[in-house]
Amino acid sequence: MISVDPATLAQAKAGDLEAFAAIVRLYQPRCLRFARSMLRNPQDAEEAVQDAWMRVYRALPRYEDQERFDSWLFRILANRCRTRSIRMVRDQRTMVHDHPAMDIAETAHPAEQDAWREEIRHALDELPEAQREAFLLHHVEGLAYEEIAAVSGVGVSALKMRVKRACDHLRGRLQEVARD
Amino acid sequence: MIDDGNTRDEFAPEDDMSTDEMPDVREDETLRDVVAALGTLPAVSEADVQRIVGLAAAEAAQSGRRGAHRWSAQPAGEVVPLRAPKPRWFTSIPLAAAATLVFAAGIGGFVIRDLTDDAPAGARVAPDVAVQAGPAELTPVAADARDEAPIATQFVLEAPEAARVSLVGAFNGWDAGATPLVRDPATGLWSVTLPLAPGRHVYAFLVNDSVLTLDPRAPETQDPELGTSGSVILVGTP
Repeated sequence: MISVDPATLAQAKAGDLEAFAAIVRLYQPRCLRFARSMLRNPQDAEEAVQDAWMRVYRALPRYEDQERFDSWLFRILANRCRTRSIRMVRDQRTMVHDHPAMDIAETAHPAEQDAWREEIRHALDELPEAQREAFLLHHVEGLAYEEIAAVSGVGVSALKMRVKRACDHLRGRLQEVARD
Repeated sequence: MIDDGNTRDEFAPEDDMSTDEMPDVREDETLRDVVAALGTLPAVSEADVQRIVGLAAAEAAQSGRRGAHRWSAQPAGEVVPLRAPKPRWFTSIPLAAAATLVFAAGIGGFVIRDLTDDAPAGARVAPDVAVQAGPAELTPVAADARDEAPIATQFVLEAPEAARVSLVGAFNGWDAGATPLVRDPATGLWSVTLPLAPGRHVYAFLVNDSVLTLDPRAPETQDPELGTSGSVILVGTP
């Protein structure tokens, strides 16, 4: 898993925008990947990521090196996604399950692969937000449970249960599709 | 205040769980495929990065944050597709007495164009809106967070003979290398678009790294920071 080098991070903390740009360049694909899986609507995802980066930039001088940068970044991003998700519900811009979603990858894919991604998207959409977040952070973004605990504010064992439930649901929903 | 990660837990109580009960994704073919599909990284363009850093730069310039001058906007001459507020064509910021804001009709030395979501990414911005306002119309209004969002602003100078043109102002620390303009070979117009916080900005063009040039079509003011006359642009809300 990619990670920012301490020297670049130190420069960005000192206000160096070139260093900040290097960090954005490094993490933007992962941030977009996570936000798109959380929010479905690509535009909402992009806005959440942009919002998260602005908050990261403002907070960088206060970033403590003891915490892994990935964990800190995803904590901020996850909060932006949650906030945006709440706003979406409030605005009754409800989740679009049949969105031509799967802008997850911007390159063309064979029809079967698109269909498979679509199925995954549907299965993800059915998960409660907290389970989806825990599953993505742990299994896709590679964060340790202890790090996700900082993100979500819940205990490690509860997080493991969320991830297990998410796995059970995804397996149950997608096993049959995989067999088709 | 940064996000502290605390959040509501609106879901059913969850049982404690030991590590041994955890499913091993690597051993489960379906989950392994799911994780592999979800793990595909999206393509990210340099324009996306520049947009985000541009917003940070605008904020840094406004707040006087250290190190902001070390970022140079990419000379693109293309629209930076910001998620910006709706168009706001004139200002509500109280003005210095020296900044006489009489914009003659038809004069559009600078343009402000908000790049809304429906603006095609990468589209060329044409100078299409002249800022017009009379001093009597400018009244202070309470600002809110939305009013502080940077707005994409385009600067244009006609200098067909120039080899290099850059934009200098308080927003980039008067750094001659920070904001180069790009020449359109077809028109001879030099332009750059960058996000600026709403408010009054004093600026000038630096031609061939040596000649400080005011915007011939913008109002002029004496600015102590510049030490000489500067052009004035108003970015903001009615």
